[in-house]
Amino acid sequence: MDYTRCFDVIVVGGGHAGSEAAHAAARMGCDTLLVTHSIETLGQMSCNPAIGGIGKSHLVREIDACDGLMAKITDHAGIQFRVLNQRKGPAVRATRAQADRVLYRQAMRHAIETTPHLTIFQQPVSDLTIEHDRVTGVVLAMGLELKAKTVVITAGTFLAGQIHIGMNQQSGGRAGDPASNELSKSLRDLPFRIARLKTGTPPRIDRRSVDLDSLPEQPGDFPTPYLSMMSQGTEHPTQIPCYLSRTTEKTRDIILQNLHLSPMYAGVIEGVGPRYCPSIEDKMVRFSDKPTHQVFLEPEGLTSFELYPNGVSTSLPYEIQFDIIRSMDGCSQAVITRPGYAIEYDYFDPRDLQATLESKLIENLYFAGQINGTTGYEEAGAQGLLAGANAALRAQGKDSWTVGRDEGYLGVMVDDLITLGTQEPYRMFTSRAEYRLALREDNADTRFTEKARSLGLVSDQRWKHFNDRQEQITQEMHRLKSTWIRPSDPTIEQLNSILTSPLSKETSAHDLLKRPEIHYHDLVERGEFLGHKDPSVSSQVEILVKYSGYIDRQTDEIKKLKKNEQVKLPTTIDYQSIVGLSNEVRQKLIDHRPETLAQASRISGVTPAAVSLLLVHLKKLDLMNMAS
Amino acid sequence: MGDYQVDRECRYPAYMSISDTIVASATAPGRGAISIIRLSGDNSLRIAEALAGKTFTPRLATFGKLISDGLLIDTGVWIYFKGPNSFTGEDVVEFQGHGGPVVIQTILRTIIAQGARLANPGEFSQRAFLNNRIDLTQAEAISDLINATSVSAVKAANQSLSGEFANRIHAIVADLIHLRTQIEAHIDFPDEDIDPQNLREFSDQLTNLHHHLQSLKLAANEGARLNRASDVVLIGEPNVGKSSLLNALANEPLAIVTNIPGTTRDLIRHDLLLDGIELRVTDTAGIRATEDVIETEGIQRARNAIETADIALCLFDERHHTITESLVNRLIGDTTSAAIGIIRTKNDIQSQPTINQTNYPLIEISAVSGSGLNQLKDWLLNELNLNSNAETPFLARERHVIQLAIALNYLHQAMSQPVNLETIDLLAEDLRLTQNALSEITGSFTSDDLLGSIFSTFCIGK
Ligand SMILES: Cc1cc2nc3c(=O)[nH]c(=O)nc-3n(C[C@H](O)[C@H](O)[C@H](O)COP(=O)(O)OP(=O)(O)OC[C@H]3O[C@@H](n4cnc5c(N)ncnc54)[C@H](O)[C@@H]3O)c2cc1C
Ligand SMILES: Nc1nc2c(ncn2[C@@H]2O[C@H](COP(=O)(O)OP(=O)(O)OP(=O)(O)O)[C@@H](O)[C@H]2O)c(=O)[nH]1
Ligand SMILES: [Mg+2]
Repeated sequence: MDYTRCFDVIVVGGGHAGSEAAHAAARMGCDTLLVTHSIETLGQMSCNPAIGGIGKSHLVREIDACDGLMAKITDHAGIQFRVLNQRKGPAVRATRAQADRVLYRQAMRHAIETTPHLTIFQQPVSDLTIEHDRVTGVVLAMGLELKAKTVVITAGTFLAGQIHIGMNQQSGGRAGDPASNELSKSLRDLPFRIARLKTGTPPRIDRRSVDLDSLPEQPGDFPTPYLSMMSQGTEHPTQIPCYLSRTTEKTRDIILQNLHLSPMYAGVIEGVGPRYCPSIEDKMVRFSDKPTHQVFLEPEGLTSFELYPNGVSTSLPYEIQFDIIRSMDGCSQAVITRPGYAIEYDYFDPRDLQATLESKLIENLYFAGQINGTTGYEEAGAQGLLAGANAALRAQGKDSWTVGRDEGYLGVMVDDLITLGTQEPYRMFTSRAEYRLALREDNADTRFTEKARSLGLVSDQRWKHFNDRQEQITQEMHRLKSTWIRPSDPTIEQLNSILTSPLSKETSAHDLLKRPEIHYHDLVERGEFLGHKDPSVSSQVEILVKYSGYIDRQTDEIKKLKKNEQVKLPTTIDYQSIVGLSNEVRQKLIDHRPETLAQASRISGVTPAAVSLLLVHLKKLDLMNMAS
Repeated sequence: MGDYQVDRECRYPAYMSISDTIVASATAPGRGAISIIRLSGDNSLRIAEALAGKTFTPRLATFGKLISDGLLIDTGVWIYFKGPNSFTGEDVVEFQGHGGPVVIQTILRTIIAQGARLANPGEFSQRAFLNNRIDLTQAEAISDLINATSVSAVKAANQSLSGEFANRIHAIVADLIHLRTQIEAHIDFPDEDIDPQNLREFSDQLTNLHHHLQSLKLAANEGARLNRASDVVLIGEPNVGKSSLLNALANEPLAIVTNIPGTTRDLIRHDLLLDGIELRVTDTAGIRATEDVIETEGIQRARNAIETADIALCLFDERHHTITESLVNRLIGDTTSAAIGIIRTKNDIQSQPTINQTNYPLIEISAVSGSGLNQLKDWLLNELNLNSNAETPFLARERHVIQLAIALNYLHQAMSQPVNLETIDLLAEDLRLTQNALSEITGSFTSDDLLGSIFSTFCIGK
């Protein structure tokens, strides 16, 4: 690492956000430095080695559509793949992969190490250098100062991390890694709003000690799904199954009797956990009438004996964890290899961020990942991509990049965070996306690749692949529109037998597909036309046709809202001086500092009348500016 | 799109480039008076020409009909102002008709069905300001207007959202949330051990929801008394003719009328529909000093009734020619928030003119001849309805009915195909939009609220 250089972008932290951020900036040609505690833990999965799932896989596909890392690496490291919601509509289908923790880390490290323009350096960062509310570089623990045009902070759960096992506490960023206390202290001197959140992880168990034969096996899907659009079919390592265990009444009794030993219930942890049950303690307390909860036993890797019991995250003392695990189906002899724990950490109020993930308070400083109040690798990775790309754009003196709620889950997440803030670790769910039908796993490329290409994120190879695919989709759509099926066709009886009402007039294959009872494969099987050679193209066309009515309706809705998205609220706006606003609304606007009128309107309590008043105020300012 | 040009000087072209078309009654829909309905936005001209069945020339008043679905709704004068030379700076069309509230309601609904929406409080002026049709000095006034009208709109909406209507719509929203919670949990947490919901049950819930919403809409539409009617209380000394007035308004002998002072002891109520507006008229015991226990209780009830009244009518007969503030206060105290009107009764036998020394309006009537009753009704309507800036209960209900119709449309779409797994995302989308439409009535319900409902119903977590 050449310390005399002024880097374009310095990324602090080599977790999931940091890796994507650094990789994105480097892809865009920026001289990028990734500074992290330990090169060995690049791409380390702190908790469950699983990527994807409902809502989350959408983010992974969006990262992939911008040529990011997560999907490609998961395809190389995944040891069990399933498509969730397979039988439900395409908008809510989601791919989930169980990853081999070691393979994942290796693949990530390899990708980072082989990226041009990207330098790695192992050192804790202890401070930032700031001049006139603008960041100019970082200070390393060993005292060295590094200069940079922009800095992205992705410190994850490490800032003032505090690990709890029972009443025992120790400082740590996650099990086995030191917390980042220096940086936490320095950042607390800056004018950020900082609070505490908490999350947890279950104990791990040795698979050799579990009676796996007695438990239902859950195999992956076949053929094995992929996360990256660029994967060829040769990336996956050996695939292995998961197992399904359950808690018993005994489990519940053990937990309820020992609640006072849980740091959360004893009031030792002040950080807020999520409303969804993160810990087995929560589950038992809130749903005490439920006799049993399912626990997936997920392999941690091909070369590891460890199983991850998904569903029993806990911070109870080890002795109790021991009893809990042994009370579960098939686990009466189970051996725990690592204790479960809860961790509390600093997070920064994301309302202090712009839609680019740049701080509203310090110029050229970006935040991404769990530090913004989210949880999950995918949420972190997607933010990393956005922050990294924007830091690069700034360093290059180019216009910034933001993602709308109508464009991607990434846009939904960032908008939720920056306009509403979060009171619990924020996890993506599809129900957060009002334009869910348009934001699908299957069309992330249509939504992102072109834009990403224009930013310099996308390689020639992917760009060509994308254009070929789009071309094929257009052609196939055209073909269906010009393929006519007539009531006089010899095969019509066959077709009528699956139609709810028989075909009465000449109809294009395209229009026929709009009928809910008809599928592309029905038409192919009945010999109406030859199927397309690439099933992902035909399925894309089928989805487009079937959803068209709904998508058109959403497009109208989006158009109506768009105008407010484009009305910017200047940072200098003085809410106290706006005539007619109630005090409550005023306070909310001061707290949230929305960037656009649309964001303001999404803040709860900001009424349509208040939005009108804002608009009138803006116009007034404008007229005054013109007059002077 | 209309031919409205984006004003180059306006720095909010994005906001202005698509303007949806808004409609509102620009005058109070009083009986007999001229009513003006105003449309503004890109589609104003298209909508107006469709309803008039002719084409318009800017700034030229044309006499014509307003026809919807082949039915003549009103006749009047149409005027088209081409943007930017109009009040709002957009294409504006005005229709001056004769309609009372019911006709106006029909016209508004017809126009909304053509793609316009009801204007928000102060929205015409706001658009005028944003389009540089009103200058900077008026900015404060516009803000005040938006503020005042939205305050009255909230009040009016609360009034519409009360009583039986409120109960029914809240029940529907609760059912909708219940259904959405199940479906969304199904979608977002397929791996969690939620009891396998059978789709049939979703289907039944959907049918129920549709049924309830439809019957509520029907009821609301027909002006059934679903919300609290406006309270009108008749108050006065014994024998002034309160009971006689009640009977005259009701057109039936509800209350006993005698020439004995102190006839009425209890509150006697009658619900009345005046041009689509619901009134509850309450006759009370005559107010005087008395030892009679029953009568004293009656007088107490009369005073209580004033507390909750929207309008207090103070009746005086030939015993008082000069009406003073203190006479009125003696009847109703000086703390009531009700609107106050003075009624001089028995004008068939009055010999002397009335001198009104108060600031309240005076209406002379006769329960016997019926004279002045129409004037009284007009005044009541005015009081409840009109004040062209204020949002009226009538309009608030109209907004609610429109939202019900929108919600019903989405539910309809949801029911257009059988509930099955493959299209459950489409069903969820229709239900989301149904909820959005109802939220305009009952208050917002965000995706985060939905997640809250899921997490408190199901045990979910990694
Ligand atoms: C106990 C626990 C349980 C979890 N459970 C789950 C789960 O089940 N599912 C799930 O999806 N997510 C889970 N998460 C969350 C998930 O691990 C994080 O959301 C994700 O890793 C966040 O990514 P990140 O890049 O923001 O931060 P991290 O992955 O935490 O990475 C932060 C990186 O920054 C480095 N760093 C920190 N400070 C400095 C500094 N001052 N100088 C240099 N380097 C620094 C660290 O060494 C680390 O490499 C869990 C996290 C923890 C800790
Ligand atoms: N000529 C004439 N007489 C009326 C009129 N209205 C009421 N009266 C008479 O006045 C008397 C009292 O009428 P009520 O209606 O009972 O009066 P009230 O105010 O209800 O009296 P209490 O119930 O005793 O307080 C009756 O004899 C009526 O016939 C009117 O408009 N014209
Ligand atoms: Mg009486």
